[in-house]
Amino acid sequence: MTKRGRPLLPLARALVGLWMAAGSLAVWLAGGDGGGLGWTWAAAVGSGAAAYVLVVAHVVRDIPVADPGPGVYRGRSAALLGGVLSALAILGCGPRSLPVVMIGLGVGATIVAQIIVPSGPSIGRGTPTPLRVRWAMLMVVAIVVAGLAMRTDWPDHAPGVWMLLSLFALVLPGLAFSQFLLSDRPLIERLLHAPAFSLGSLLIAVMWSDLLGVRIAMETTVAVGGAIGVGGLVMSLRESRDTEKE
Amino acid sequence: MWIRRWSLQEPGRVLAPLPLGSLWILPALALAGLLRVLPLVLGDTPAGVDSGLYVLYAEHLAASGTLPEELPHYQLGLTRWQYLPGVPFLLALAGWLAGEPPLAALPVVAVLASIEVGGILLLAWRLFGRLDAALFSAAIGAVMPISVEMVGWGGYANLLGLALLPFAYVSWLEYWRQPGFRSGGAFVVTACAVAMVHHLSGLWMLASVGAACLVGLAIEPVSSLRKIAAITPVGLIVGLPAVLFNWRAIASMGGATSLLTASERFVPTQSFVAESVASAGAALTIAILVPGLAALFFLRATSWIGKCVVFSHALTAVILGFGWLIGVHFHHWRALLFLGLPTAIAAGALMHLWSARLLRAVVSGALITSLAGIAVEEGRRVSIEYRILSPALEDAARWLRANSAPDDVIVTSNRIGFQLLRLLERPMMLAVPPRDFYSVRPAAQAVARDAFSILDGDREVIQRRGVRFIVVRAAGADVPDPKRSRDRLAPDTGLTLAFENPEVLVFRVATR
Repeated sequence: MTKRGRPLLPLARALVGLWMAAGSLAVWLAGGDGGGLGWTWAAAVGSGAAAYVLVVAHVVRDIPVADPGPGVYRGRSAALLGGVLSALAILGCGPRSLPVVMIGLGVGATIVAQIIVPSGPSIGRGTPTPLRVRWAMLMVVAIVVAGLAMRTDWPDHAPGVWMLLSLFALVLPGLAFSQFLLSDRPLIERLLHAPAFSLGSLLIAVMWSDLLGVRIAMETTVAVGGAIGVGGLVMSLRESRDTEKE
Repeated sequence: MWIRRWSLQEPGRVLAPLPLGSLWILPALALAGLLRVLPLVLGDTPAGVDSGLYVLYAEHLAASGTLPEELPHYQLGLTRWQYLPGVPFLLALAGWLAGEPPLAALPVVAVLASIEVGGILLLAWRLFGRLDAALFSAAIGAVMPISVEMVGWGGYANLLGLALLPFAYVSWLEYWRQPGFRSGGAFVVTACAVAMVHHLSGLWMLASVGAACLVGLAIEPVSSLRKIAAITPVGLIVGLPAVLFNWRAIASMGGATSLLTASERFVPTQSFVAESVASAGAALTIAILVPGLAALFFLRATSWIGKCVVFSHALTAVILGFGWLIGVHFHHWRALLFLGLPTAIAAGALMHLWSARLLRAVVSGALITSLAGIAVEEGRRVSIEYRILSPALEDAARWLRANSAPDDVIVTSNRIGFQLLRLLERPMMLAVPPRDFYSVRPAAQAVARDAFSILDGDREVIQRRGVRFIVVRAAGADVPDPKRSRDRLAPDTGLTLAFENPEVLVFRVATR
């Protein structure tokens, strides 16, 4: 059956979307926690009906998506919707406070991100990010210097210190691993993978050390992790220079 | 024809590199960190129950340089540490870097949130090959209210495990698509990270990847067998410490058979699951999860092997969370925590439904706003409900240390007990419900049961156990209900109210 033969299906899909949008706002604004299992049952029934629409009618196919509109239109609509919804988020959260305002702004920016990115399949159209290893190194060096400076000069700012230096411990060793293991992926993917590789490699080292009866000193852990990270990045930098020369 | 349709090879197109537009993930990363850190910053002191044990472990690790095995005071010393070192190591490391004790490093959970959201973006990109869907998945992962609740009670190991799981899945999918030294290495490192953080996270990874392997074996037996045979020995060798640890942990629980069949230990979780489901966050999760998974099932852009991983992850959570409905003995309320990842992926699948940009914007905007709003409310609630560690509790611990002998037995309720264990070196009996009690040693379980009886005013048990002090919250919630305990203990003429402040009461047992 062709799409033309079942004109109600796009409408059914749209209704699923509108139900989700209106329903989610209703659950939040009406305070779902006060209603016991009522909201949960309502969501279960509604989601069951939505799934029925999708499963039985077999509507999920490679649906053509609209071409991205002009940038100005996208920007305006994104800013408008993001602003309205983030304002709603802030107001709906009760008395204003700094964390809530920041979260409201985060919600707005996240929504803007949803709208402003190109829609439709990006498959085959993705291009590697133009970021280079030297920028990553610069960023890591800046983090380390800032962290060390804060630890030395502002010992009262422990949260800022651990945040910066944790990034150093959590990103740097993993970045070296991702430079090696994900050499064919763009830098942004390597950066996203870096914390998982960092934690994985450090935990493997910690558990093996314990199994072998070697003392786990934090100084040694950081030194080894830093050496791996810096070594890996220097090698990557040299590699990227060689590639550029070619 | 059908073989081609059911091919396990991922379409090559999904391997396109993440485009520059993926930098729009930054607001979601920041949002996730801000929301997760709420329970730790909204109150005067950080909220947390289990955090007491994590910090205790981290302090030991930082001081001794070894992973502790003995837990000397908990349940009169009848239990051992069952924690894997992931979170304590992270706290010890972050604390050391800042020149502060591990307790000061608790907000590191904000970093974990950002790691998780980045992993969801990568997994969704691999499954959908479409940036708007991947970003939407990541945004939903960032605002899941249940993650904020986890921070509230201190489920950091669960958080870290959930943060690392998407990376293990992405690496495994890449290995399956293109087996090799590098892709295999990436999977081994990330899988070991998951296995060295939390037992449950390891179980989920094993179940999800194992189910996908079985599907692979059924459809492409020879090549699948090669892939499995090549990676398994390497994984076992590199992850040997975690394998041995889990082996010992299961053995201490009476063996796998006992663990899976001792249904009576998990019966109380049924009511807890029912409580967890009756919330706004759960309602929205269901609303996204069910139609989203239906959409994912029919999505042709996603490979079957990718779908297998997501569906087996979700199915494991449903069976272990609601198994009691169908007669499965083993079930655990923490299974619900694992529904966050499939919900985020389901949200991305839903993005394929609507071609109209405005409709997509409205749906995504409404869902993100609603979930973020609920998460903020959740952050406020748990920052009050789980505010256990406070100057008042520390004051009570100081008084107890000064007025008790090292071998005096102290009985406490559940939540303050987990913090007192770190503050006080005395043999303790904690009223820990079976859903949170991981030791199946009959003697240790008897201690937990007796603690409940004592807090219910059972004089005979107080005498039999040689209890010297009973600690109860003066305000706030705990397990068992502190008001009931106060009402039962106050009239007892054999007890004296020896210490009191606005948050803690300490009863002293009169000696004969």
